[in-house]
Amino acid sequence: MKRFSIWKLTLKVVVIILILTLMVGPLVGIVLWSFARRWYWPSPIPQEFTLRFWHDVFAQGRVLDSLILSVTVALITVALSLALSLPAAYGFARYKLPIERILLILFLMPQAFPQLPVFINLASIFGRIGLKGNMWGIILAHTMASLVFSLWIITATFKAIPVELEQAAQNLGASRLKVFWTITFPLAVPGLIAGSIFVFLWSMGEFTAAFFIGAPFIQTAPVLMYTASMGYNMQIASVISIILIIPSLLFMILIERYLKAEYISGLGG
Amino acid sequence: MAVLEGVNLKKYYGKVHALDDVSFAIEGNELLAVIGPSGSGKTTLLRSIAGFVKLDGGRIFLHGEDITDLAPEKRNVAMFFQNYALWPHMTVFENIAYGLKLRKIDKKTIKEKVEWALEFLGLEGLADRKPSQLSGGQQQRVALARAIVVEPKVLLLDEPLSNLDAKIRLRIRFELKALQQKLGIPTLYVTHDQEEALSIADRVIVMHEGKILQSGTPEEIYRNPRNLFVADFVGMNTIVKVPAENGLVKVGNITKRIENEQKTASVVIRADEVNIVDATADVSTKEGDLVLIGVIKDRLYLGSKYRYEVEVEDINEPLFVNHEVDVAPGKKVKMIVPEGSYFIF
Amino acid sequence: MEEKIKSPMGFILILPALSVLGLLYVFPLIRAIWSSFYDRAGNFTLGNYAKVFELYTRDIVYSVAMTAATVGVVLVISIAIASYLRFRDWKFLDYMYRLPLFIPFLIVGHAMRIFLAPHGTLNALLTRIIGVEELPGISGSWTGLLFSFVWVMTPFATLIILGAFKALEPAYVEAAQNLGASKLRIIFDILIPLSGPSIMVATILTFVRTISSLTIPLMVGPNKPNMITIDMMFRVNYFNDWGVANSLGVISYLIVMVLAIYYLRYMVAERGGIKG
Ligand SMILES: Nc1ncnc2c1ncn2[C@@H]1O[C@H](COP(=O)(O)OP(=O)(O)O)[C@@H](O)[C@H]1O
Ligand SMILES: [Mg+2]
Repeated sequence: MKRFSIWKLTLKVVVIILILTLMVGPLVGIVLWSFARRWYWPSPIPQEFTLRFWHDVFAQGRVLDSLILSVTVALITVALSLALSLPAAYGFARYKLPIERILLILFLMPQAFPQLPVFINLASIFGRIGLKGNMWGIILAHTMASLVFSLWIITATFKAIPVELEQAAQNLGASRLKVFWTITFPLAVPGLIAGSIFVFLWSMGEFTAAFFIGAPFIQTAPVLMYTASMGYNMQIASVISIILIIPSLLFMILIERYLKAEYISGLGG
Repeated sequence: MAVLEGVNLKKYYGKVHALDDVSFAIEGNELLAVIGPSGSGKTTLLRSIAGFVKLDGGRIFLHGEDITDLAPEKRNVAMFFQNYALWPHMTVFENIAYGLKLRKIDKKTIKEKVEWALEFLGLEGLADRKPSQLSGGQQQRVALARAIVVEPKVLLLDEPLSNLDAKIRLRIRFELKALQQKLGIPTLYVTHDQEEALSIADRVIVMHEGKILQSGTPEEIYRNPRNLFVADFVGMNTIVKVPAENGLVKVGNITKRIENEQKTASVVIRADEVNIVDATADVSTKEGDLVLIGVIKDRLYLGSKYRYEVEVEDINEPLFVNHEVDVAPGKKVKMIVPEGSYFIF
Repeated sequence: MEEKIKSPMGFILILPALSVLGLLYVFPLIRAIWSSFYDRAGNFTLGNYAKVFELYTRDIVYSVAMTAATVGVVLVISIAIASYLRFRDWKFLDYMYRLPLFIPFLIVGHAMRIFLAPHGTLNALLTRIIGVEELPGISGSWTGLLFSFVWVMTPFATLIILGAFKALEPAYVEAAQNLGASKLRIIFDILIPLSGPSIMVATILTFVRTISSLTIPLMVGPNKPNMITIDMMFRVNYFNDWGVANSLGVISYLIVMVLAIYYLRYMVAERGGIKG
């Protein structure tokens, strides 16, 4: 027995429009700007559209360089994070550690505590040892701060793999290392991928560390975006923004399963 | 007019027919028990009455009023949840008072009513405890108090005793019955325990795969089961298959006509109601009593009685029957099963 | 699963990660605290803190107030969304509320500059609906900053709270419904009280993420007053004044610590222990 009510329908339409305006509205502006040649008030859309800025971004040296730099930094950060968190996660999942919970929380600290003071001091320390204005400085800072994502996700993945599966292999004569590479690791691959994506996305969008440590010589994509936006170069800023948003949105839709609050506490930066 | 009436209720979960054209009615202040094996649709029936399951067909009437499309919070049928569902953040008092508060009753009356309920259920002195500080039996009573204190039109109980220890369960069973009678609340009582249902219900409904197979008083269900499933589901039974020819089944001294054209028939015997005597003893039997001759194969001591495995002439399967008299294995015996203690389908 | 291996090997496995954390996090952190007590010449002083209170008291109050306002609004909205989605499936809302979840804060800042400016996309829409020539923009004001903060913080808080609502034993909700409680009553009587710890986590994480955000106030915030993160940045970039910057940092830590301690005490009271 569904009663059709014109008021209910109207209300629903209004609510949908309101939600769309508030949630999608801010993103629409960026998209429009990225194609705008001329856009003067009070036109709701640009007077003239162009693909020039998209073209420029991929042709022009500075923007493309910053994108390549960001991807490079993010990929190396992922590699380092994995290299560090694979053994650590196995340790947390399988070994009895004295202050396990406190140690795990410690890794969360960079994401759950104000980051800025640490990053500016890290920049100053790096300044003395030649890592400031250097890609590796940014990579080290990113690895430290994003370690929690890969560590926590992979630890949870390892914990979910029954010990019996490992014991069965050990029982057949495999060494611990062999068991790890032939049994545990393959079963943990989905968790590894999820953790890697978290780290990758976080690094790609990170501004603060990249800004303070990269200065004055190198600019990652977010830093360049910031400079462009502050200089009212809305088109370039918007193109870079879209390039940085797309993977985030794709990821959100794809990984419903890993959408657990504790993993994302620090994303967004 | 029936207090609560369900007419042709239907609920499908994909291919599963959780309720397949179920009709029932509660009259007066009776306690109506719904029994059936796990998955037969009992909980679905109860939850559809409470409004938590949206039916695919049928209507539900409460005192003649159609409540089928009413929201759960507007029905005034109190449900007792299998795991009690006592709110852990409220004290016993707050739990019981909750429904009264929603009815905008003044504080003083609420206090009186809650105190009455606490006393009625023997929970004096526990008002300020949190549910986690209570024993299972106490929690169960608080849940019951919470349900009855709002004076519902119908009480719905879903396996109310299943979370209690076997010993307490037996005692509470009768307490519950006495309480229900004292309060005079019409009650729908769901359980998979047929013995529990038979012992306290005014009437019983037997469900299987979403259908009602039979309904009636406990005696009717027990003494006059309408089909094999019901006969087997209630009581302690031993079942043997015997051949059937042209609609005629012959077991021992009894020949029965059955309607189906089946090749075999099932004989259900209430295992506790068989009299075992020496094969040569001359005992008088009534017309309609089933008399079987067999040999005791094995014997199991059960405390108050023995459980015998008996090989019966002309029947391929062994019979398991209980009797308090000690008979040595190997002995030839006569078994007398009174009419109403065996069923042939 | 339960029996874990007792062996120093466990410690060796976590050592590399732990060292990275120690060198790149704990060390700079200690250095920040340390250098907040020293002047440029390297003498111990409380002057940095004196300067902070002289110059930035207003900004500290503003930061805390702005953060508290954000937390308040975020909680109201996320509890509303979570309650709705607890009772009804609405895929549209489910995806919409999560939209900002992974978008980098900096980009949110840029998007909000365009959206909320006097001649921004929001006003382009609103002026047409209302039928006026001009409307004030809220970017560059505290309202714009609040809006931006709420926009990015809400999905995360909602995710936590909705998770708690959905994990609640359904019978708790049904029992209340059965006794005649409306949806609204159930939200306040059952859902919220029984989700206390999760709401607490949402509160604290929203608070910390807001008060430590640099990029959003940098992009959309007003020039005066400033969030303290901006003050820190300016202190370093324009005055090269590490002492005062670090004092501000320490103060932001202290504010967060107060909350963390409050949280720990709450959790201990709530269930006699901390659950991670
Ligand atoms: N929410 C549900 N979704 C799918 N199937 C269900 C659901 N609830 C019950 N069922 C199915 O309906 C049938 C009846 O279930 P139920 O009423 O719980 O039986 P009972 O209480 O007698 O054990 C079962 O086959 C069960 O699997
Ligand atoms: Mg059931």
